[in-house]
Amino acid sequence: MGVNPDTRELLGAYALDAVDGDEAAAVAELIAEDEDAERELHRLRGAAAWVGATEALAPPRDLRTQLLQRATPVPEEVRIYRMAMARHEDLLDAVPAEALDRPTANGLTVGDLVVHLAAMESAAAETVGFEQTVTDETEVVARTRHYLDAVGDDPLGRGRRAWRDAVDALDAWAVAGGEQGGLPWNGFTVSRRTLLATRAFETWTHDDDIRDALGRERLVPHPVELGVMSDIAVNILPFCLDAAGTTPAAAARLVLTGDGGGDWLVSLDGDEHPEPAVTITMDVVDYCRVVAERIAPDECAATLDGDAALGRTVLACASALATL
Amino acid sequence: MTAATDWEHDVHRRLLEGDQGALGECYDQYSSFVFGLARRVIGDRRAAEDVTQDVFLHLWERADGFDPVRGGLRTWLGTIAHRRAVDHVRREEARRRRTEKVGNQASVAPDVEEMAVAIVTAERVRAALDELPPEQRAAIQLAYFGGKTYREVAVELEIPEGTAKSRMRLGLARIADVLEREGVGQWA
Repeated sequence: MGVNPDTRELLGAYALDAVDGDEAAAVAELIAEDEDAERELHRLRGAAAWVGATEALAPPRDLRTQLLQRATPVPEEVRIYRMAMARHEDLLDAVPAEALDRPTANGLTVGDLVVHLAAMESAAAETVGFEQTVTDETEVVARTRHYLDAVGDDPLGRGRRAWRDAVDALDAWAVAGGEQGGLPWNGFTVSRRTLLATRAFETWTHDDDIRDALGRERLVPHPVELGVMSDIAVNILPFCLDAAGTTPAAAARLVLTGDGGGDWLVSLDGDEHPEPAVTITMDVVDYCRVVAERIAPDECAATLDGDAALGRTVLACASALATL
Repeated sequence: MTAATDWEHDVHRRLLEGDQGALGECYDQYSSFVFGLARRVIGDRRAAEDVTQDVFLHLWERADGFDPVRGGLRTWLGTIAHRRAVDHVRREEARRRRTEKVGNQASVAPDVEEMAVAIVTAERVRAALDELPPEQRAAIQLAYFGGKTYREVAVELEIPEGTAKSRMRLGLARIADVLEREGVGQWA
């Protein structure tokens, strides 16, 4: 997509928050595509921050106490959920209106995908008592269609608000100490940790779909997030195999490399198997993208030690529960 | 642009792990900066306190948004604090009252708790600001402390919009030049 040459001239004003919304979106697009512009913006923002520092003034003493009272520690799954949702919101801020009709990996347009995420987030929130008026439908495609009808041609307005309401409801429930388990989700009964991590995982996946459609670089979540999401993505393997119609009487060891990875011994049929029949070693981000059905197993470098045929079956079935 | 310090990498990791002590350290280091900036832009002490709390709560909840590899915490906090302060100003439609203060309000002395290096650097920045061509300084101050868009600055200074944009870009670049030339560590 083309960038107006005048946009670069806006960098100083942007660093001073002195541009309007459309211009801010144009600068966001410029710095996403142009490393020199991004470097210049950081430099100008650094200078602006120091201009601000010339006004340093001690706040009242009790402000620190008030802050620390409000900044309560939250469980890990809530933290990663917030990170993923906040990044989605940042991405929505940078989606130009003219990009809403572009197609994404799963056939939906960018705008449709924004609405799909609202439909799914509200479905997750409904499991913990959130009330919405769009539809009672739970099947993914049909529910998304209802939301598309309700949102009309305003995915970044009405669609985003519906999504935000659901996120706020889930967050409030989790922070208030909502149930740890027994939550119905996509035909399974899951824990709070799984529910929130699954939402973070799907949001990351679709955000990358949107980034692809916008010509932006894909994003790798922070290792803290990857650690939780990869754990969920490994532990659903037996269910994936079951959904694909196979239950090998064996265990597989998964060694996912890179920050946020780990080492798991997973029984593929629910019975105890002290030794793995196969060890699958691969990059943690690649594995997550295989599970999300965004890359095929043969597109990534995986090492299979032991029963290689079983290893290939495991990876081929790893995306069996992916939807859209 | 200078990369973040070891301390910033350390508090970043601890914030992501939910360590409240790390938030306290960041607050101790940068609260005077954030509060002073918000107070100058908004002009109202209570509102500046609210913005200060919001900025540090944002750090607590969105520590992943700060990337120590790409720059220092001061720049990150300053960007958020300024945007929120300006949003507040624009929301409250109190621009005119503050504009009257810009240009004739004496600078507030830095807090004694701020790191010594920050005080020294702030002095250098103040000097760099004073050395800017007056038209660049006016454009930066009207936008940054007055909460005005470059179009409003252009109207106020009776200059073309393109000139207002250029003055902001050139003025900030010149301040960055001074800081780099003087070897001010950790300035970004």
